[in-house]
Amino acid sequence: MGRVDGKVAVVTGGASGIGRASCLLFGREGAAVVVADLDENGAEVVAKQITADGGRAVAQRVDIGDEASIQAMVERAVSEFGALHILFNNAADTSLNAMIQDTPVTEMTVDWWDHAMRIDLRGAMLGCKHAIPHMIAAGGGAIVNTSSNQGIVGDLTQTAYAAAKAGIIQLTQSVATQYGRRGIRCNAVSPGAIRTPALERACPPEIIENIAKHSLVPRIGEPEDLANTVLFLASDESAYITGHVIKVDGGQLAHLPHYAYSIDTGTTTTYTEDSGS
Amino acid sequence: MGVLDGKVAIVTGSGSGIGRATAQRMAAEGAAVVVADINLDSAKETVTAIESAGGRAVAQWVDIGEEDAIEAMVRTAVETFGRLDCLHNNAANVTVVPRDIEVADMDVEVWDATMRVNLRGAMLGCKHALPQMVQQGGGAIVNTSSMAGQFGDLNRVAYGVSKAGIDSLTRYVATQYGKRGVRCNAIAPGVVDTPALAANVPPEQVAMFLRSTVTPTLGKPDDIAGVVVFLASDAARFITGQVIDVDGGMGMHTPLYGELIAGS
Repeated sequence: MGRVDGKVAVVTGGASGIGRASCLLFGREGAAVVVADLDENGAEVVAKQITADGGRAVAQRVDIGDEASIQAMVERAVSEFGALHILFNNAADTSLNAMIQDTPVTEMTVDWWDHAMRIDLRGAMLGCKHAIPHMIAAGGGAIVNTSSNQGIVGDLTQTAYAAAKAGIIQLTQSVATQYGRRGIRCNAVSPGAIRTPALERACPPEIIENIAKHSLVPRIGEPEDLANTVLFLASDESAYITGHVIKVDGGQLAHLPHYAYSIDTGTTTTYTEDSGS
Repeated sequence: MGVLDGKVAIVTGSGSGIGRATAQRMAAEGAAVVVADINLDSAKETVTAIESAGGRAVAQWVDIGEEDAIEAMVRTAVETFGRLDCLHNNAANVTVVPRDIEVADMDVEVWDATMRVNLRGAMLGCKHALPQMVQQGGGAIVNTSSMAGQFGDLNRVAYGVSKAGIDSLTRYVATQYGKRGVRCNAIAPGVVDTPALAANVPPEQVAMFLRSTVTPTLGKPDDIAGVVVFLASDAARFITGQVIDVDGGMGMHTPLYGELIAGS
């Protein structure tokens, strides 16, 4: 028995990284999967791997910047597998170009800002918009959105991406509030540093090692770490969890910022805020 | 005209550091202040400083680990100045912090001493101040929490847990007494540049704290005092049950921030 037996799932950004790992896990746990990605060939490879492992999957090209394309993706799930129970809104623009264009505020172009909002935030909203009627028809469903630790804390760059990811958290609560009584749960995952093709494109290995110093679990995350959490939130095991954001970050935001320094230097803080004069 | 004109305030732990700066600032804004500290001589010094600046204050010995002492402190405010409008639960047990390390080595006495003073002391301050505030028609309580109550660290586990308890206590008091006119908020300071910081923390570590802070400098005691005055004043009359981070942004950025700016 799989944990999502008989369910139909759509995963955006399913061709690589966190999306790919989630598609494979959904397939193994009994769901029929629509592997949706802008990279149609990549989606095809993942779908074939699921079917080769004995699961059910189809590949679907989607541009989450385009409402018609999102609508077609949702229709595909229903026409192919008869229903829709799970939507994992995972896609975002994590291209190398995005790393370059998504600047500090004073250099931010309106064009890039609008692009980031269209892909990273509006895309998830439209996924919900078109999936929810089918989920209600199916008697309920679960939506999982990919937020980010960058939507929770500040950074020196990636300004638009971060604002979009903070928006994802609020969208998650709105959807959970608006459709909870109709059987739909909506939660978000907030990844920290995860070893995905996107991260490896953006960061040389020594930077990735350095990021790992800030994790309490002594490594950076793997896509499977996210997939396990997404599966949990999509399954009935989490039936009483909604509107919630789960950080999957190895504890990166659980500690004070000097943690890595303290480890590196072997020092601890004996200071308290009110040590007197 | 001060923003605390006509009000009576108690500040625990105001014989030194942030507490002293806050007591002075409250007095400068027109409050009559009960300067309460376990070190009575230091409390008297704060009173002298307030009086020489034209303010009104009285020194009061208090050990916030003792309920009787807290009760006496509240009584002093009412007997000396006729009422009680603001309680700033600021004192904490700093003497046990060097022995407050990791969980597996936690000495129960260190744990209990921390909870008794930092957390129970604040609760008892509320317990004895609240009836007077309610009788007057209202009041404002400000508790001193810490960023250590929101994030983990390699040591100071009892301290951090007691401060998280302060955050919860703040919400409970705000909830229970809000309709009776009492507001209760907390401040969570980050690293504050006091003489004690320079005396006790190596310069490299202070530099590291500064790298983790997004403001150009570390906080000053007066930066904390200004926020306490605001929360105690009527300007904050619609703010209750909140924990205000006064940390120069230390708790709001990615942990890599310090290295990123050091490298840029």
